[in-house]
Amino acid sequence: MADAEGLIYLGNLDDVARKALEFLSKSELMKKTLSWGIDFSLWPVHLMTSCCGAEFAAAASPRFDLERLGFLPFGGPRQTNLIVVEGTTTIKMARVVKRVYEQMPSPKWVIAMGACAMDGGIFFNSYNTIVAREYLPVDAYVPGCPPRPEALARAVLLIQEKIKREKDSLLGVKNEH
Amino acid sequence: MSEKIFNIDDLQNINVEGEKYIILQIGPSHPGSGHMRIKVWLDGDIIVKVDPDIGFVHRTSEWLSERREWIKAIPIVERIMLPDTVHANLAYVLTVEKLLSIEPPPRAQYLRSLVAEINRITSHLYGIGIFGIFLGSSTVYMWAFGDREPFIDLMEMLTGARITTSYIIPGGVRWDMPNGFKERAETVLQYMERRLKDYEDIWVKNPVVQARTINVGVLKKEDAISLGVVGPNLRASGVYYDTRKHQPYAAYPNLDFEIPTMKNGDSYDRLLIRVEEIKQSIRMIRQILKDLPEGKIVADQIYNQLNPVMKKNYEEKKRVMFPAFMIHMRPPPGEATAKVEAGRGEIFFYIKSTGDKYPYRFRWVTPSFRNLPFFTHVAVGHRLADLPTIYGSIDYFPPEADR
Amino acid sequence: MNIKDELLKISSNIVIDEKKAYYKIVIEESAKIFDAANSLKNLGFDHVVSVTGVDYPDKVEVIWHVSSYSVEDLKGINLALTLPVKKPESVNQNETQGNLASKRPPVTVPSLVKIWPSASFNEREAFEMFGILFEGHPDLRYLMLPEDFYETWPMRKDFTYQRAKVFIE
Repeated sequence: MADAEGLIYLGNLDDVARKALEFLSKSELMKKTLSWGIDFSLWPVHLMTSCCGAEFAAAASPRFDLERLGFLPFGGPRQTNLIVVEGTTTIKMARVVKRVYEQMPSPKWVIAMGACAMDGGIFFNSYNTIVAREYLPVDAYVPGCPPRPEALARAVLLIQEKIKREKDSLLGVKNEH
Repeated sequence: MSEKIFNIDDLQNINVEGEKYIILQIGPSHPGSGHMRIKVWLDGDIIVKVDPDIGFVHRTSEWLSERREWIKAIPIVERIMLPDTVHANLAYVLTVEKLLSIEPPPRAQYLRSLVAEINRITSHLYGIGIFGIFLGSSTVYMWAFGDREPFIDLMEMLTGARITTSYIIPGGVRWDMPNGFKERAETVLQYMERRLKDYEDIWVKNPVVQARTINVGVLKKEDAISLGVVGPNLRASGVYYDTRKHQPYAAYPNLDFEIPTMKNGDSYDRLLIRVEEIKQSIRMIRQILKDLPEGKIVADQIYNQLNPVMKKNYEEKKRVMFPAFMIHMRPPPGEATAKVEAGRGEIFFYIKSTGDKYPYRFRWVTPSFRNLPFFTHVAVGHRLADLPTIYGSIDYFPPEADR
Repeated sequence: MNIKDELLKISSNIVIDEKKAYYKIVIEESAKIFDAANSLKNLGFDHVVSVTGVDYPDKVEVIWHVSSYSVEDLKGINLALTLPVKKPESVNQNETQGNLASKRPPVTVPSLVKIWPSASFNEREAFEMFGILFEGHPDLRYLMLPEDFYETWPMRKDFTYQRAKVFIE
């Protein structure tokens, strides 16, 4: 079959494009480049949930400077790929966090920071608090009350190693819950 | 700017029905709102009514403290007021000491004032940094949070923890001052005085900051008294009131300091008064380090109840291991109140005890909760772009308002 | 001015303990609270620090803590204006709402917002925590709790809860 400009195609263009994409996404060089790119540009959403937010703000300050790892807090959820649940979430705030999580594009990761997000912390058995893993799939936990900013940097490094070990393709859709 | 409405009775009856007004929700996941939602009714660009929707960080500290032992309330109260932990700790311990009728020794009083003044400086730097972010300047945010770190290192040298220290217990304090602390503190104070000149050149005398904050959010003296606002916001409107002078506690009766007040009550005055208070705190820390008396750091009633191993530990290392006998402490029946001046304002405690192992009624009011009328009464009549200016200048911290 | 004599003119039931910083004045009936508050304001107490309640098995005590910014002698005093109110008869105890506590009727008390405007947010918090209805408050609605907790008055001593599953969507 011939085109208006005189070029000749053989076969179905959609099919060929899909096969090329699958081949590229499984090749080692492509995976390494993609994971290097995502590792050093993990942008968290600017959502302060509770009092560990003060150590989160100190982690972005000049002494601990997480921005050298590419960690830049950004305003809107549509351009970010990391969400840090810091501290205790109450029932009113958990509804907001879930809605922001669903607005972020895939692939995305979750860090639960502080003892209160892990298992209730010092405010356990209260009528208004809820643990992070009951409504979000968590990837890394950071213990401490509040954790030092270096511990938050360690959690970002753990997420980087998790991205490098990822077996599925990072170009496609990540496994949703 | 439309005519400003400020009759308190009129504000309750503004009619916002109809299609002329737009409702805007500045929600929790906004960089300029903190952990709360602000509902604003707009007529074009002018604000007509504001309704703050708080409660996103309500962690039920009063309900939990009434079901746990007396000594376990110290970490709970500290984590509610995070930039200002020493003052919350001090307010609770002062109330419990009134119920127990214990007086700490003079060295412990001076050490309590020392930690409190260092914490006041870090709290004011936090407020200046957040104000800078709301106005759009990330330089001041980086400077202020970077300059907090030497003071946090001083607290770590004295107490062992960065922010949540739990340093003050009923009867005294837990650690004594290590060697080399006085020289190190003098270095940090000289560094801060040099940096304050930089802040004044870049931030305080900046024409952009002056154009955005002069005559914005004016609160007059009579209205400040009747609305019940606290802290530097009250002193910027011209009222001469400070709990350290009028209901003194710890080492403040022996120290020599002034209380600055300003005349206009707008956002620029609220910025200037925080810089002045940092200078007064530096002056107080120098006096404390010069006049520190010798002696024990816990009261005799507590010292006589330590077992021999703990007493040996105290003599060698000058440290009181957090005494486990305090877990069974039962103050006698009675009621007591106490007030303390924190960095943002005044903390108030009211505790009632019936001789049981749990408190019967634990009530406390934090300064941010009492500054809420700023949203409903002061922001009305301004343009929408002035709302972050007013919010940033009152230093409002939502986890502390919700308790 | 002598605080004790001035307070004795308003009510005969007062407790003063200077060492513990504890000043308390008790008004027996709800009808007299408005006049007592007016006399305190004329003395010089010009703002409210906190409004709260204390829960006993048969009554609820409503406490307004007031203080002063302008009069020199009164600047160091926290006065507790107390009003004990009896609880009304409770309805059928076996009724439950979803997975939260049973219904307990609220208590009614006059509001002091017309005298002290600084009591407005404090009274809203006392309403949602203890179930105290303030008559005459212009805007009495829930301040901090979400709608899962309507009419459960969490700070009362007989509040029990049992969380099955919270709806987060």
